[in-house]
Amino acid sequence: MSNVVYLISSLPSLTFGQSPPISLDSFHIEAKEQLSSTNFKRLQELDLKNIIDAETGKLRKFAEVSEQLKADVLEIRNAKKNERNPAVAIVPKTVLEQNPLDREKSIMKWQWEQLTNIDSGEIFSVTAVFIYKLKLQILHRLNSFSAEKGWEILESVVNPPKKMEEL
Amino acid sequence: MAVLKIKYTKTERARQKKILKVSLRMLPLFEAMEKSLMVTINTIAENIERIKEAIEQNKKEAEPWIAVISDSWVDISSYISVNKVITKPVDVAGVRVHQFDKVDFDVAPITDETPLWVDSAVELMQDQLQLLAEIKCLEAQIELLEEELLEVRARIKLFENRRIPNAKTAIRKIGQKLQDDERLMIATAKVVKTKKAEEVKI
Repeated sequence: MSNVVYLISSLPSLTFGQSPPISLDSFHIEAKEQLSSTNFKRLQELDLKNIIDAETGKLRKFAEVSEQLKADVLEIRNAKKNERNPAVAIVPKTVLEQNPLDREKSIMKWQWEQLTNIDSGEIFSVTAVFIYKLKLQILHRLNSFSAEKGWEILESVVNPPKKMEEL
Repeated sequence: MAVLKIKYTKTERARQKKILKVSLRMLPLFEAMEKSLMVTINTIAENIERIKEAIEQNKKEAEPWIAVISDSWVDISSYISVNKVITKPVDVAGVRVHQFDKVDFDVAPITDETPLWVDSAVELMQDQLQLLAEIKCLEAQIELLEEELLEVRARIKLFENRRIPNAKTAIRKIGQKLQDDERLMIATAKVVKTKKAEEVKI
Protein backbone atom coordinates (compact mmCIF):
# COMPACT_ATOMS: atom_id res chain seq x y z
CA MET A 1 0.00 0.00 0.00
CA SER A 2 2.74 2.47 0.95
CA ASN A 3 4.52 1.64 -2.29
CA VAL A 4 1.39 2.53 -4.25
CA VAL A 5 1.10 5.80 -2.28
CA TYR A 6 4.76 6.52 -3.04
CA LEU A 7 4.29 5.72 -6.72
CA ILE A 8 1.19 7.87 -7.13
CA SER A 9 2.75 10.75 -5.23
CA SER A 10 5.85 10.63 -7.40
CA LEU A 11 3.97 10.66 -10.70
CA PRO A 12 3.29 14.00 -12.39
CA SER A 13 -0.37 15.02 -12.40
CA LEU A 14 -2.27 14.67 -15.64
CA THR A 15 -4.61 17.17 -17.29
CA PHE A 16 -6.63 16.46 -20.42
CA GLY A 17 -5.15 18.22 -23.42
CA GLN A 18 -1.64 18.66 -22.01
CA SER A 19 1.49 17.09 -23.49
CA PRO A 20 2.18 13.81 -21.70
CA PRO A 21 4.58 14.68 -18.86
CA ILE A 22 6.01 11.17 -18.79
CA SER A 23 6.52 8.44 -21.34
CA LEU A 24 4.72 5.13 -20.98
CA ASP A 25 8.07 3.35 -20.75
CA SER A 26 9.23 5.59 -17.89
CA PHE A 27 5.89 5.07 -16.19
CA HIS A 28 6.27 1.30 -16.47
CA ILE A 29 9.82 1.43 -15.10
CA GLU A 30 8.67 3.42 -12.09
CA ALA A 31 5.62 1.23 -11.56
CA LYS A 32 7.67 -1.96 -11.78
CA GLU A 33 9.76 -0.80 -8.84
CA GLN A 34 6.76 -0.13 -6.63
CA LEU A 35 4.09 -2.68 -7.61
CA SER A 36 3.89 -6.37 -6.85
CA SER A 37 4.66 -8.61 -9.80
CA THR A 38 0.98 -9.58 -10.10
CA ASN A 39 -0.21 -5.98 -10.16
CA PHE A 40 2.57 -4.96 -12.50
CA LYS A 41 1.64 -7.77 -14.90
CA ARG A 42 -1.97 -6.53 -14.80
CA LEU A 43 -0.74 -3.00 -15.43
CA GLN A 44 1.35 -4.11 -18.40
CA GLU A 45 -1.57 -5.97 -19.93
CA LEU A 46 -3.94 -3.08 -19.38
CA ASP A 47 -4.55 -1.24 -22.65
CA LEU A 48 -7.13 1.42 -23.42
CA LYS A 49 -7.40 0.04 -26.96
CA ASN A 50 -8.44 -3.28 -25.59
CA ILE A 51 -10.30 -2.91 -22.32
CA ILE A 52 -11.83 -6.32 -21.83
CA ASP A 53 -14.70 -7.74 -19.82
CA ALA A 54 -12.21 -9.64 -17.69
CA GLU A 55 -11.35 -6.39 -15.91
CA THR A 56 -12.40 -6.51 -12.29
CA GLY A 57 -13.33 -3.98 -9.64
CA LYS A 58 -13.79 -0.37 -10.61
CA LEU A 59 -12.17 -0.92 -13.99
CA ARG A 60 -14.93 -3.36 -14.83
CA LYS A 61 -17.30 -0.40 -14.88
CA PHE A 62 -15.03 1.39 -17.32
CA ALA A 63 -14.80 -1.75 -19.46
CA GLU A 64 -18.60 -1.86 -19.55
CA VAL A 65 -19.00 1.75 -20.67
CA SER A 66 -16.25 1.15 -23.21
CA GLU A 67 -18.32 -1.72 -24.59
CA GLN A 68 -21.32 0.63 -24.79
CA LEU A 69 -19.12 3.12 -26.60
CA LYS A 70 -18.17 0.41 -29.10
CA ALA A 71 -21.85 -0.37 -29.59
CA ASP A 72 -22.54 3.32 -30.25
CA VAL A 73 -19.69 3.50 -32.75
CA LEU A 74 -21.13 0.46 -34.51
CA GLU A 75 -24.58 2.08 -34.52
CA ILE A 76 -23.12 5.30 -35.99
CA ARG A 77 -21.49 3.26 -38.75
CA ASN A 78 -24.66 1.30 -39.50
CA ALA A 79 -26.78 4.45 -39.48
CA LYS A 80 -24.44 6.10 -41.95
CA LYS A 81 -24.50 3.04 -44.20
CA ASN A 82 -28.31 2.98 -44.12
CA GLU A 83 -28.63 6.78 -44.32
CA ARG A 84 -30.59 7.19 -41.10
CA ASN A 85 -30.08 8.99 -37.80
CA PRO A 86 -28.09 6.93 -35.29
CA ALA A 87 -29.74 5.95 -32.02
CA VAL A 88 -26.78 6.26 -29.68
CA ALA A 89 -26.86 5.33 -26.02
CA ILE A 90 -23.93 7.13 -24.43
CA VAL A 91 -22.25 9.24 -27.11
CA PRO A 92 -23.64 12.80 -26.93
CA LYS A 93 -25.60 13.75 -30.08
CA THR A 94 -23.46 16.89 -30.52
CA VAL A 95 -20.45 14.66 -31.09
CA LEU A 96 -22.11 13.25 -34.21
CA GLU A 97 -22.06 16.64 -35.90
CA GLN A 98 -18.40 17.27 -35.23
CA ASN A 99 -15.56 16.74 -37.68
CA PRO A 100 -13.57 13.48 -37.28
CA LEU A 101 -10.83 15.13 -35.18
CA ASP A 102 -13.14 16.93 -32.78
CA ARG A 103 -15.33 13.83 -32.58
CA GLU A 104 -12.36 11.69 -31.60
CA LYS A 105 -11.23 14.29 -29.07
CA SER A 106 -14.75 14.44 -27.60
CA ILE A 107 -14.82 10.66 -27.27
CA MET A 108 -11.40 10.74 -25.58
CA LYS A 109 -12.56 13.53 -23.28
CA TRP A 110 -15.58 11.42 -22.45
CA GLN A 111 -13.29 8.45 -21.66
CA TRP A 112 -11.13 10.77 -19.54
CA GLU A 113 -14.15 11.92 -17.55
CA GLN A 114 -15.30 8.34 -17.02
CA LEU A 115 -11.85 7.51 -15.67
CA THR A 116 -11.85 10.63 -13.47
CA ASN A 117 -15.18 9.60 -11.98
CA ILE A 118 -13.76 6.21 -11.03
CA ASP A 119 -10.51 7.78 -9.90
CA SER A 120 -12.17 10.13 -7.40
CA GLY A 121 -12.92 7.24 -5.05
CA GLU A 122 -9.67 5.41 -5.63
CA ILE A 123 -6.93 7.70 -4.38
CA PHE A 124 -3.78 5.77 -3.48
CA SER A 125 -5.11 2.38 -4.59
CA VAL A 126 -3.72 0.20 -7.33
CA THR A 127 -6.81 1.09 -9.38
CA ALA A 128 -5.57 4.68 -9.35
CA VAL A 129 -2.31 3.47 -10.93
CA PHE A 130 -4.27 1.62 -13.60
CA ILE A 131 -6.37 4.69 -14.27
CA TYR A 132 -3.21 6.77 -14.44
CA LYS A 133 -1.92 4.50 -17.19
CA LEU A 134 -5.17 4.73 -19.14
CA LYS A 135 -5.17 8.51 -18.84
CA LEU A 136 -1.51 8.63 -19.86
CA GLN A 137 -2.41 6.55 -22.94
CA ILE A 138 -5.13 9.07 -23.77
CA LEU A 139 -2.63 11.94 -23.50
CA HIS A 140 -0.08 10.15 -25.66
CA ARG A 141 -2.71 9.42 -28.26
CA LEU A 142 -3.97 12.99 -28.15
CA ASN A 143 -0.42 14.23 -28.49
CA SER A 144 0.11 12.14 -31.63
CA PHE A 145 -2.46 14.23 -33.52
CA SER A 146 -0.45 16.51 -35.77
CA ALA A 147 -1.68 18.30 -38.88
CA GLU A 148 1.79 18.25 -40.40
CA LYS A 149 2.14 14.49 -39.94
CA GLY A 150 -1.45 14.03 -41.07
CA TRP A 151 -0.70 15.69 -44.42
CA GLU A 152 2.47 13.61 -44.77
CA ILE A 153 0.55 10.38 -44.18
CA LEU A 154 -2.24 11.40 -46.58
CA GLU A 155 0.34 12.28 -49.23
CA SER A 156 2.22 8.99 -48.73
CA VAL A 157 -1.01 7.05 -49.29
CA VAL A 158 -2.55 8.95 -52.20
CA ASN A 159 0.70 9.91 -53.91
CA PRO A 160 3.38 7.37 -53.02
CA PRO A 161 6.91 8.05 -54.28
CA LYS A 162 7.44 6.71 -57.83
CA LYS A 163 10.18 4.29 -56.75
CA MET A 164 7.76 2.65 -54.33
CA GLU A 165 5.20 2.35 -57.11
CA GLU A 166 7.68 0.67 -59.42
CA LEU A 167 8.61 -1.82 -56.72
CA MET B 1 15.31 20.20 -101.33
CA ALA B 2 15.56 17.40 -103.89
CA VAL B 3 15.17 18.38 -107.55
CA LEU B 4 11.76 17.41 -108.82
CA LYS B 5 12.05 14.70 -111.46
CA ILE B 6 9.23 14.98 -113.91
CA LYS B 7 8.18 12.74 -116.75
CA TYR B 8 6.93 15.10 -119.41
CA THR B 9 4.05 13.02 -120.61
CA LYS B 10 0.32 13.51 -120.79
CA THR B 11 -0.13 10.46 -118.55
CA GLU B 12 2.13 12.03 -115.92
CA ARG B 13 0.24 15.30 -116.18
CA ALA B 14 -3.02 13.44 -115.60
CA ARG B 15 -1.45 11.64 -112.62
CA GLN B 16 -0.21 14.92 -111.14
CA LYS B 17 -3.64 16.47 -111.62
CA LYS B 18 -5.17 13.57 -109.74
CA ILE B 19 -2.62 13.99 -106.92
CA LEU B 20 -3.45 17.72 -106.75
CA LYS B 21 -7.18 17.05 -106.69
CA VAL B 22 -6.90 14.45 -103.93
CA SER B 23 -4.47 16.62 -101.93
CA LEU B 24 -6.72 19.66 -102.14
CA ARG B 25 -9.60 17.52 -100.97
CA MET B 26 -7.64 15.95 -98.09
CA LEU B 27 -5.95 19.10 -96.78
CA PRO B 28 -9.14 20.59 -95.24
CA LEU B 29 -9.90 17.20 -93.68
CA PHE B 30 -6.53 17.12 -91.98
CA GLU B 31 -6.96 20.75 -90.95
CA ALA B 32 -10.33 19.88 -89.41
CA MET B 33 -8.73 16.90 -87.69
CA GLU B 34 -5.98 19.15 -86.32
CA LYS B 35 -8.59 21.58 -85.00
CA SER B 36 -10.64 18.77 -83.47
CA LEU B 37 -7.57 17.27 -81.78
CA MET B 38 -6.56 20.67 -80.40
CA VAL B 39 -10.07 21.30 -79.05
CA THR B 40 -10.16 17.82 -77.49
CA ILE B 41 -6.73 18.25 -75.90
CA ASN B 42 -7.80 21.62 -74.46
CA THR B 43 -11.03 20.12 -73.13
CA ILE B 44 -9.11 17.29 -71.45
CA ALA B 45 -6.61 19.79 -70.01
CA GLU B 46 -9.54 21.76 -68.60
CA ASN B 47 -10.95 18.55 -67.09
CA ILE B 48 -7.60 17.88 -65.47
CA GLU B 49 -7.67 21.38 -63.97
CA ARG B 50 -11.20 20.78 -62.68
CA ILE B 51 -10.13 17.51 -61.07
CA LYS B 52 -7.10 19.22 -59.52
CA GLU B 53 -9.47 21.83 -58.08
CA ALA B 54 -11.62 19.01 -56.65
CA ILE B 55 -8.51 17.50 -55.05
CA GLU B 56 -7.66 20.87 -53.51
CA GLN B 57 -11.26 21.29 -52.35
CA ASN B 58 -11.13 17.88 -50.65
CA LYS B 59 -7.91 18.90 -48.94
CA LYS B 60 -9.46 22.17 -47.82
CA GLU B 61 -12.44 20.31 -46.37
CA ALA B 62 -10.12 17.85 -44.59
CA GLU B 63 -7.85 20.58 -43.21
CA PRO B 64 -9.74 21.01 -39.89
CA TRP B 65 -9.42 17.33 -39.04
CA ILE B 66 -6.32 16.14 -40.92
CA ALA B 67 -4.33 15.94 -37.64
CA VAL B 68 -6.30 12.87 -36.55
CA ILE B 69 -4.78 10.87 -39.43
CA SER B 70 -1.51 10.76 -37.51
CA ASP B 71 -3.26 8.92 -34.64
CA SER B 72 -0.62 6.69 -33.04
CA TRP B 73 -3.22 3.96 -32.60
CA VAL B 74 -3.90 3.52 -36.28
CA ASP B 75 -1.74 2.89 -39.33
CA ILE B 76 -4.16 4.30 -41.87
CA SER B 77 -1.91 3.34 -44.79
CA SER B 78 -2.68 -0.30 -44.06
CA TYR B 79 -6.41 0.32 -44.59
CA ILE B 80 -6.42 1.25 -48.25
CA SER B 81 -4.49 0.60 -51.42
CA VAL B 82 -5.25 0.62 -55.12
CA ASN B 83 -5.72 -2.84 -56.54
CA LYS B 84 -6.40 -1.81 -60.13
CA VAL B 85 -7.42 1.22 -62.16
CA ILE B 86 -10.20 0.12 -64.50
CA THR B 87 -10.43 1.83 -67.87
CA LYS B 88 -12.36 1.22 -71.08
CA PRO B 89 -11.13 1.84 -74.60
CA VAL B 90 -12.93 4.65 -76.45
CA ASP B 91 -12.32 6.68 -79.58
CA VAL B 92 -11.63 10.33 -78.89
CA ALA B 93 -11.17 12.52 -81.97
CA GLY B 94 -10.45 9.37 -83.95
CA VAL B 95 -7.79 8.13 -81.54
CA ARG B 96 -8.20 5.00 -79.43
CA VAL B 97 -7.59 5.97 -75.80
CA HIS B 98 -8.34 4.53 -72.37
CA GLN B 99 -11.16 6.27 -70.55
CA PHE B 100 -11.19 6.18 -66.77
CA ASP B 101 -13.97 4.03 -65.37
CA LYS B 102 -13.25 3.38 -61.70
CA VAL B 103 -10.61 2.35 -59.20
CA ASP B 104 -10.74 -1.06 -57.61
CA PHE B 105 -9.57 -0.57 -54.03
CA ASP B 106 -8.27 -3.01 -51.48
CA VAL B 107 -9.88 -1.78 -48.25
CA ALA B 108 -9.07 -3.51 -44.98
CA PRO B 109 -12.14 -4.46 -42.94
CA ILE B 110 -13.16 -1.93 -40.32
CA THR B 111 -13.66 -3.64 -36.97
CA ASP B 112 -15.55 -2.53 -33.87
CA GLU B 113 -12.25 -1.37 -32.38
CA THR B 114 -11.46 0.88 -35.34
CA PRO B 115 -11.83 4.55 -34.40
CA LEU B 116 -14.63 6.41 -36.19
CA TRP B 117 -12.30 8.85 -37.92
CA VAL B 118 -10.86 5.97 -40.00
CA ASP B 119 -14.11 5.84 -42.01
CA SER B 120 -13.75 9.51 -42.99
CA ALA B 121 -10.04 9.13 -43.74
CA VAL B 122 -10.64 6.07 -45.95
CA GLU B 123 -13.38 8.00 -47.82
CA LEU B 124 -11.04 10.96 -48.30
CA MET B 125 -8.23 8.71 -49.51
CA GLN B 126 -10.55 6.86 -51.90
CA ASP B 127 -11.73 10.17 -53.34
CA GLN B 128 -8.22 11.49 -53.76
CA LEU B 129 -6.86 8.25 -55.21
CA GLN B 130 -9.77 8.08 -57.65
CA LEU B 131 -9.28 11.68 -58.76
CA LEU B 132 -5.54 11.17 -59.18
CA ALA B 133 -6.13 7.99 -61.20
CA GLU B 134 -8.53 9.94 -63.40
CA ILE B 135 -5.87 12.62 -63.94
CA LYS B 136 -3.32 9.94 -64.91
CA CYS B 137 -5.77 8.50 -67.47
CA LEU B 138 -6.47 11.94 -68.91
CA GLU B 139 -2.76 12.75 -69.09
CA ALA B 140 -2.19 9.49 -70.97
CA GLN B 141 -5.02 10.50 -73.33
CA ILE B 142 -3.37 13.88 -73.95
CA GLU B 143 -0.08 12.13 -74.68
CA LEU B 144 -1.71 9.91 -77.32
CA LEU B 145 -3.69 12.79 -78.82
CA GLU B 146 -0.58 14.96 -78.98
CA GLU B 147 1.25 12.17 -80.84
CA GLU B 148 -1.64 12.06 -83.30
CA LEU B 149 -1.65 15.85 -83.55
CA LEU B 150 2.05 15.81 -84.46
CA GLU B 151 1.35 13.27 -87.20
CA VAL B 152 -1.59 15.28 -88.55
CA ARG B 153 0.48 18.47 -88.52
CA ALA B 154 3.27 16.67 -90.38
CA ARG B 155 0.74 15.58 -93.00
CA ILE B 156 -0.66 19.09 -93.34
CA LYS B 157 2.87 20.39 -93.76
CA LEU B 158 3.54 17.68 -96.34
CA PHE B 159 0.44 18.64 -98.32
CA GLU B 160 0.97 22.38 -98.01
CA ASN B 161 4.71 22.46 -98.65
CA ARG B 162 5.38 19.43 -100.84
CA ARG B 163 2.57 17.55 -102.51
CA ILE B 164 0.36 20.46 -103.60
CA PRO B 165 3.17 22.82 -104.77
CA ASN B 166 5.03 19.90 -106.38
CA ALA B 167 1.92 18.75 -108.24
CA LYS B 168 1.19 22.32 -109.37
CA THR B 169 4.78 22.81 -110.53
CA ALA B 170 4.77 19.44 -112.30
CA ILE B 171 1.47 20.22 -114.06
CA ARG B 172 2.75 23.68 -115.12
CA LYS B 173 6.10 22.33 -116.34
CA ILE B 174 4.55 19.37 -118.17
CA GLY B 175 2.03 21.75 -119.74
CA GLN B 176 4.77 24.09 -120.91
CA LYS B 177 6.87 21.21 -122.22
CA LEU B 178 3.94 19.68 -124.04
CA GLN B 179 3.08 23.10 -125.52
CA ASP B 180 6.69 23.59 -126.56
CA ASP B 181 6.74 20.12 -128.10
CA GLU B 182 3.55 20.86 -129.97
CA ARG B 183 4.88 24.18 -131.27
CA LEU B 184 8.12 22.50 -132.29
CA MET B 185 6.19 19.78 -134.04
CA ILE B 186 4.07 22.35 -135.92
CA ALA B 187 7.15 24.37 -136.80
CA THR B 188 8.97 21.26 -137.98
CA ALA B 189 5.95 20.21 -139.99
CA LYS B 190 5.81 23.65 -141.56
CA VAL B 191 9.52 23.54 -142.40
CA VAL B 192 9.11 20.08 -143.94
CA LYS B 193 6.10 21.25 -145.88
CA THR B 194 7.93 24.35 -147.13
CA LYS B 195 10.95 22.26 -148.13
CA LYS B 196 8.74 19.81 -149.96
CA ALA B 197 6.98 22.68 -151.72
CA GLU B 198 10.34 24.14 -152.80
CA GLU B 199 11.50 20.74 -154.09
CA VAL B 200 8.31 20.46 -156.15
CA LYS B 201 8.95 23.89 -157.67
CA ILE B 202 12.50 22.92 -158.61
